[in-house]
Amino acid sequence: MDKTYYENILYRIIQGRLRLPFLDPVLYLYEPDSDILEESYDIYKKAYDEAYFDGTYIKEELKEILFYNNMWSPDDDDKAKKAEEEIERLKVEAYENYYNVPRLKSLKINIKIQESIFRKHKSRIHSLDHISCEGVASLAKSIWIISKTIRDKNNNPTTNTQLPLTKIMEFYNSKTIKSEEYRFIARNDPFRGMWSAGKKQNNIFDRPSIYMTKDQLALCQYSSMYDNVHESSESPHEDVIDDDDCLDGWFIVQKREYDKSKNKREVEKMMGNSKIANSQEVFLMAGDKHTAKKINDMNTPIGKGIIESRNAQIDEVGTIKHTHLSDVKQDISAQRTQQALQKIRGR
Amino acid sequence: MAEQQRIFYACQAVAITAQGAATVAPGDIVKGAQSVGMSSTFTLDQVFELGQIEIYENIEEVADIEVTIEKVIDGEKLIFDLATGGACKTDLVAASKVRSDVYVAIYDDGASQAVGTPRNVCYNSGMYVSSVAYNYSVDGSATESVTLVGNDRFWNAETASVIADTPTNLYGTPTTGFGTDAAVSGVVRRSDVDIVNSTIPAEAISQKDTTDATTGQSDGARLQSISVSADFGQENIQELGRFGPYTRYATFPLEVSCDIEVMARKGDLVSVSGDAPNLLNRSINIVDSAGTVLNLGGNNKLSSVSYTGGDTGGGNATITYSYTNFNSLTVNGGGA
Repeated sequence: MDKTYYENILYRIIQGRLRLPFLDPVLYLYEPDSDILEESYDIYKKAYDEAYFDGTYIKEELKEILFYNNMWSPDDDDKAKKAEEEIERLKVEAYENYYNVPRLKSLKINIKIQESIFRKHKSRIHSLDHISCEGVASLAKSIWIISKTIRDKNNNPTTNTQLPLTKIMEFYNSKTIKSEEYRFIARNDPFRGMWSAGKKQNNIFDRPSIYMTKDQLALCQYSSMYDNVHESSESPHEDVIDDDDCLDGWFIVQKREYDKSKNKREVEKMMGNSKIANSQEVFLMAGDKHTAKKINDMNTPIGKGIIESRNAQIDEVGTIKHTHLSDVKQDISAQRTQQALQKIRGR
Repeated sequence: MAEQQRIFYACQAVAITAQGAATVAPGDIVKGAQSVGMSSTFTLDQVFELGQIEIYENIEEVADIEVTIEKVIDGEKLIFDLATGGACKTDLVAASKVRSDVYVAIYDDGASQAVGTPRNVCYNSGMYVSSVAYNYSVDGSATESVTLVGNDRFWNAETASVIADTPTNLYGTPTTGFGTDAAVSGVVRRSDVDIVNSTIPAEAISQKDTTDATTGQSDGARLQSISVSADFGQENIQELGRFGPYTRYATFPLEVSCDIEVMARKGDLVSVSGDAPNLLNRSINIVDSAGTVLNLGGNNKLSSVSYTGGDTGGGNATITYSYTNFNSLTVNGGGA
């Protein structure tokens, strides 16, 4: 996309409206204000109740129909989860290979493939949403909001009562701003400059945040995100910042490091007693399953590996001497070598 | 020699019985346990000989095992009490000689309570108390921490022809009470430390605010933390013709220390003269509302005073008065 495409979106966000070129005279779809949004929930509830008492399914009930008609199965959720994990892995790899252009290209293709798989499986459970109570109510709410927010260029209500609301809604949906579009706008001029100047004056979009449209808020959030990236003590290379996949990879790496250090801090907090903290095996009391899982998650991958290997050995042979456990054997062997070396060196 | 920690198990029951007890009774379960740390140290001694690079013999020395258990003070039986069969209530020397068996039972981590048959049982046989520590502070719960040492540890069905029955059978399926358990007195927090009925050395209550009319049990002494600890040593005694030690002994005289941290209001108020003795024997007796009584006798002497904090970082100045005595500590409370 060229720069004008993004500038077009930016000024649409600034104006808080979408031009509807197919109407004559041309009208605009404005972002709803809080008055309209507040009232729209009454419309939603009314439509929901009507649909419900007319015997329309609720979303939860549709799961069964989807399953028996081969439109969705729990397998889809598993596949979506796997694709999500794969996307995460590929993004980290992309971040680590941002300088290796051919490899990066190949990784980006794979990310696109996995994203498409993710969307395909994730959307299957929603394929009948439009016939559910929630879907019917959402549609009624959207159409009502549109009917209240179509105005002329000067923000005056239209007198046209024959507006094609469904077509307008479809057009609005087709113009939904994508995450990558927000991100491009947020990190580039002209908005980057507007953001920096506006921050100093505490005045972005000339209005307090509670009156901002959802697009304006999203743009502020992305801009703030880029500020944090630039201000980070481990700020990545500009090439990484300019590439959404690589930057996502950097975020994932940062989050993992944060989780790791947080886990370490939690462990240190739980074991104030230095004798226990320095023990080979530490047992923490768990009052319930949730705590037991949390304690188990505190293990390092090596610790988890040792637990698994010990359990497997015990399950296999039933009875085993502590000194015959494979990790203990390894420790003793390492200790033996170390002591022998020290003895030889000490001579 | 403790190594870096490597495993955290989700586990739910610790029990201490008299040495050689055939079963684990409900009263042997440590209630309010927070964590257990276990270590085993294998000592190896290499012998080489002239004429070959290969090792002549790699000799295994007796292994030392250590278990440290920490619990909150909650009116339930104290670990020191369980580990010494009540001897800690009357005599420190007797307590140092009592041996006990410590079980750590690992239940299925999918279970909501530690009831039924545990998945694994670790049995530490013939353990001596090596150190005890009690800590009261303004943050968090009051805790008791006890370290036990020994030379025998067995898992599950292992007897090694040393113990009469397997750990799994010895532990059995005791009525642990977990699931509906509640602390007898409630967990002791700062407000439960009864300074009014405790005996605190004069130096440590020198910061007392006598104008404060709403002191409650604190007596306005502005105490921040009290920690009492004793290290028994517990050295092995070997004899010719035997692999393991025939006994362990506490290294008397045994130092008992008590650190009392106080919020500084007036400076430490401890004058030191180089021309004459400065110290008097002080009595220390710490009492809490869970019934715990830590009696350090009447021969405690101030060993150091440290004044810290109050710097430009904005921290408050605190004074820590450290007292020591030898061979005098009795611990009462925590159930029958």
